Amino acid sequence: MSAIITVKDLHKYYRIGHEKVKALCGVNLEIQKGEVCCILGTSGSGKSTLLNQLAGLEKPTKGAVFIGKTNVSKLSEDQLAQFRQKNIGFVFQSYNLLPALTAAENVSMPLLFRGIDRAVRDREAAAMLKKVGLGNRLHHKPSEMSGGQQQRVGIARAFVAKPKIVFADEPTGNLDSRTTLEVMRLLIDMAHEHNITFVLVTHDNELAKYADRIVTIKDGQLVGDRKCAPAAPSAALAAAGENEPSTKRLSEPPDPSFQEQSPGETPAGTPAAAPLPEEQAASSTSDDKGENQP
Amino acid sequence: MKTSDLITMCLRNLARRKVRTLLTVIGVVVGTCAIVVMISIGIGMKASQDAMLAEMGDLTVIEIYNYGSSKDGKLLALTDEVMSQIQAMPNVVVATPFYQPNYLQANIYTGRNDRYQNYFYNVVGVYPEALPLLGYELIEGSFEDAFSEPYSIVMGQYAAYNFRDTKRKNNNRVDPYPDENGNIADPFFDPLTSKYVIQPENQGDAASSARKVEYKAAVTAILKEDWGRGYETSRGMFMNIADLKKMEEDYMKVNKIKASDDTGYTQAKVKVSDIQYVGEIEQAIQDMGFETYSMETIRKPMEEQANKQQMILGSLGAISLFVAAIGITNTMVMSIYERTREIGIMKVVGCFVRDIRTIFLMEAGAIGFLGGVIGIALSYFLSFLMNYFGLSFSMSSDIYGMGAQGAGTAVSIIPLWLVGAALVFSTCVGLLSGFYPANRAVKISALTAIKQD
Repeated sequence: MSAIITVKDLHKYYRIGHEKVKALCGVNLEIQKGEVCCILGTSGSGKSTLLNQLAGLEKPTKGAVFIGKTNVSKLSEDQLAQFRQKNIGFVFQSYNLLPALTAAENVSMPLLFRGIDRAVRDREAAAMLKKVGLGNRLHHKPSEMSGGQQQRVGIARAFVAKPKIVFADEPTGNLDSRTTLEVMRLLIDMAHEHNITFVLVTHDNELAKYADRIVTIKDGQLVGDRKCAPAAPSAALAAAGENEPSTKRLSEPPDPSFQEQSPGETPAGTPAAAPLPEEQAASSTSDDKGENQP
Repeated sequence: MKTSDLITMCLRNLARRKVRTLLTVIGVVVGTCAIVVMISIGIGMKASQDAMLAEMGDLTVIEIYNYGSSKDGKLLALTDEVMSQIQAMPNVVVATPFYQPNYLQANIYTGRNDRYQNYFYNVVGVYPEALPLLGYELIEGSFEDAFSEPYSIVMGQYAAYNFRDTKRKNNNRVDPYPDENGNIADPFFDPLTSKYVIQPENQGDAASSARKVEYKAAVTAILKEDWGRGYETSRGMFMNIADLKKMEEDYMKVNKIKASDDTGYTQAKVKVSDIQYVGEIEQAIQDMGFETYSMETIRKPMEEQANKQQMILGSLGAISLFVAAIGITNTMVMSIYERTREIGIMKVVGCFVRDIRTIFLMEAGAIGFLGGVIGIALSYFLSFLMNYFGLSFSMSSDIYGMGAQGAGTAVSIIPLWLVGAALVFSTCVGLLSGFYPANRAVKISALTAIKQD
């Protein structure tokens, strides 16, 4: 395996007032192609700064980030835009969907910016939404969907353009525990299915278990780097009552009834608590959370 | 991004904020409407002025006078040579003297036994080719062979009524005015078929010599009366200048008259191909030392005044469009504040900076364009109302005390070029107003934008 992300002696300093804050001091990191890598750190550890650097959202003070052979920190704004179109997908904590657009339009946004025909865009977006289990929510606005559904739209958007790398910044930070499980499984599955490198930033040790590799960051420096069993997500799912290994899922065609399976994963597993897709559409985020409290 | 997608996106964004878009558009509508209506009134004013001036005379004819004109202390002569110099100037259609013989005293007779007589005073000599070029029109005959025979006459429409019946003491003329039944009496004779004789009046010694000189003449064509072109078209006569000179020469020889200083012709007319060259050519003739007169001396100050008024009216409109432009900028800046996060997301997802700029410019341009279209439609409506109720801005009767014939033209005229110009202008105003907001949108940092919650 070759390194797809190479970080070399990365420094990032901020100036807040007269004080200089060292967010990153000398980070060196290599992430392999197809790896699911978790950057774990507490609040203020510099993990988000590192992610922003990796994605080229910010210029480093010192050092360089290479994606493939490209020095991301040297790209112009337009080159970056093009680079992101081709190589990078994003999943945000706060979903960051455009409220005026429908789910399908949000998902097709990366394709739109690439200048792809509307018909192709619509087809790809619909297929992607179907894959994340929202085949019947194509024309809903974000405000008409629950948090979990919105995040799945976000995931569909991140993967629709078949990027090489997907970054996720606390993707489950706004979700309850059951939805967290669904979303994480979806993310990992999607990454594996397309052999996409997946970089997850979180403070949550539980989430870190899903990764192949956990990089711990503290005070702007890497303090730990360990490989874990790739079966971690499956293990978590097994604990949640799902015996199927995730790898097996991949060989199956995308399951449109995916949503209906999710109640089965909850430890409580009461069928009464399982909302049908139709009902779920009407139910709000708070309702979702209420139902899933153990 | 594809252009079609950009347009769709821009229109959707505008439609999303309907009320605000509408209010901003209304600003542009008012501005465009003000400019178009004001300018259309200016154009209407100008048109009625021109119509009025055209009634007063041919706008492209310059008259030259030479009553002892001098240059550098030397008396000037308006000779055939000078006329050919003027004729050679660019954009001069024709230059001809209007020659009235000073010395010749003669009568013209017609009818059986020379019964009808007219004193030979109202005759003007011109170059034979000049009349059609000067714009005279005929009601009978043709210009082609008008002067082919010597002593041919082109008669004014009512010149035949000048003749007096020598056999009668009273009531010896026919008036060309309609009676109570609206009929106009015919003159004593048919001007075209009658034969004419021109007889100089011999004076002094020559009279006793009893040598009778006379010239047989014929009327070959009849002019249409047109007071804008002068008295000659009504009761005058035109002859070939060569014939007239010949008669005068003969007369002077017989009567032993010696010409005093020869200053050439006293009057001449120059026809210019287009109104825009009149000033220039008139100036050139004045530089030669001659006095001139043309409608330009009236038209020019009137045009300048009309332009000034049009400027004032137009700037009133421009002020309101300027206010509208500020409105567009304000709307777009507001919408950037609202859409900061959206712009950030678009950037992170891979939208080109230039596409973001284009979207904002397009939105501003679309507001301008839409306002322009509605503004023009409204202007047509207002223009119609003004013309219908005939608010009279026509100046002809009030200021110059002339007949108010010019008042027949419309108060407000919207030519096609004004429509095009207004549309382009309002769209450009929109684009310009969108320039600053678009650049601001481009500068939004994707990172800070997506962190906003």
